Amino acid sequence: MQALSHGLVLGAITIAFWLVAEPVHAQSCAKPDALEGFPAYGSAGVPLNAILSAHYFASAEYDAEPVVLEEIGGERREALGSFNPSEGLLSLDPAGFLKLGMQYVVEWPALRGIGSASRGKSLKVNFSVGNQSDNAPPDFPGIESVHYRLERDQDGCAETVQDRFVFELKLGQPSDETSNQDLTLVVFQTKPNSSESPVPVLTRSFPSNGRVEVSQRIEDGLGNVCFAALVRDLTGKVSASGDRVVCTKTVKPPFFQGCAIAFGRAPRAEVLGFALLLGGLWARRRARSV
Amino acid sequence: MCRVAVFASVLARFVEHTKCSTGLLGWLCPSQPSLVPRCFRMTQRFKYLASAFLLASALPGAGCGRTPLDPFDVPEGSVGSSVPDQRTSATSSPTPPPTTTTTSPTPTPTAIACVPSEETCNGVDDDCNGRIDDVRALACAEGGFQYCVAGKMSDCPKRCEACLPGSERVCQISYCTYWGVESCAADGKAFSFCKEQRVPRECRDVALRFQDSPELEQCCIDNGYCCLDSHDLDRDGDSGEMVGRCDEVMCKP
Repeated sequence: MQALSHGLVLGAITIAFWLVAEPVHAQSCAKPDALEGFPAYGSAGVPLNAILSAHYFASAEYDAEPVVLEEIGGERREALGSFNPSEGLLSLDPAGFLKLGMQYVVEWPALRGIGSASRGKSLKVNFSVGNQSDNAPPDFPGIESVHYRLERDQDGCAETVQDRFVFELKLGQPSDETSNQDLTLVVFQTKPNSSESPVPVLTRSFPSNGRVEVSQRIEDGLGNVCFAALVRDLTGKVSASGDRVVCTKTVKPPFFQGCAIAFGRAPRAEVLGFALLLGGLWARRRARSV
Repeated sequence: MCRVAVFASVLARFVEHTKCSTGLLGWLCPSQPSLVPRCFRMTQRFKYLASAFLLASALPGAGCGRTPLDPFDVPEGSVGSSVPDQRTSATSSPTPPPTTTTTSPTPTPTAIACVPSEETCNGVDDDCNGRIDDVRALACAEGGFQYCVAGKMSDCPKRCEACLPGSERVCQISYCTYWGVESCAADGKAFSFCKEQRVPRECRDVALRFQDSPELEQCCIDNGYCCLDSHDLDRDGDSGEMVGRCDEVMCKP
């Protein structure tokens, strides 16, 4: 009897957990987290005239949460940031607060999501300031090459399989006046021989391995697809690399690349059984024909 | 390997269809009619051997099928050329999609001296400073900047492409409850298919009476949902748009 009641309790808990867990999953797929900071954690040589910013997930909404900037062992300042919802970028202009050679910590607030009461993750970034201002735009040779593939992944939010063309871009090595760290990469998709404007498709920190992936819906990535990229430094100056366009030609899936024999995939027992069956048939046939 | 299998198949069919006709036997055993029964058995055995070979070569590897699409690495220095597939394929299948990499030609210095003029976004180094299109970015009204890319000013950045990641809109289906939900993908580029759900109380009677209908879509709108305009209630010819209360679904800043 006691075992039965324990089982009922356990079952009730399981059902309750299941009922509660499902909506939580739907909410957690698009949390308005702070994704990365500019400058990044541990950056050194940040220019004196840098504008600090943090990149949030697309669903983030700014509601005048203060950004905290503190000189380590010194003054602490709270200020309202400037939010650009199009790029999910919360910025703070320290305007004279940064001092030569000093170390700072900036705390980017946890923001709410659109139509959601819960907040995403905040971000705390330590950095040190260099000994000069940045007055020149960065140099960037642009995208070197592009490869593509098709991906069919289960989407965490839609809970269905989504088809995407994934374009892997190999980037040239950028350089900037003060530091090559903390550059923002902006990738554009262009349409050759078209009057359509280039469309920004990716904004993120410049990857340390020089490679980045852009995923596009099948209809947006079909045929002649071209990309160009530029980098933006901490002062907002951009490279003049938008004229270097790299293209590829995609083919509509499903792809068929011919036949392939994969002997390794067949289970050995089945192959052996098949061989025995053939042998048996052969022996039977021989016995009947003699 | 596939070609061998196809050849064996053709051979087996040939032997099958000839059925050891007099002509074939005559060709195989031209001068000794007494050996015809033995020759018949030989050709029958050959037929089974060919069939067995065909099966043995086709079954273990599951035969012909779709093969995965691997990335085609473009070797260094192959900019501007297409790279043919180097892998072997067993049949004359169409060539898989090659990755072509092209870069727009950088204008080479010409003998004509550069005459400086105001730099504009046109793919030309107007001010002769060695940088093409180094023009100022234009601030967008809704945040972000327009940059000069490939000789044109880019679009302003958008929060998302199709929908706000994780958001939902109501859709209609043609069976059972007639009410469903489409969820926006994590990258905000597309919705899921319409997943059936229970009809909310306020639209239950409408769904039972009118099923998948303009009336049910109107009920969806009237009750404050973001709804797929599948019945084109706004008569703008677009049945793929959203209508109703869609502030938390659409890609607006």
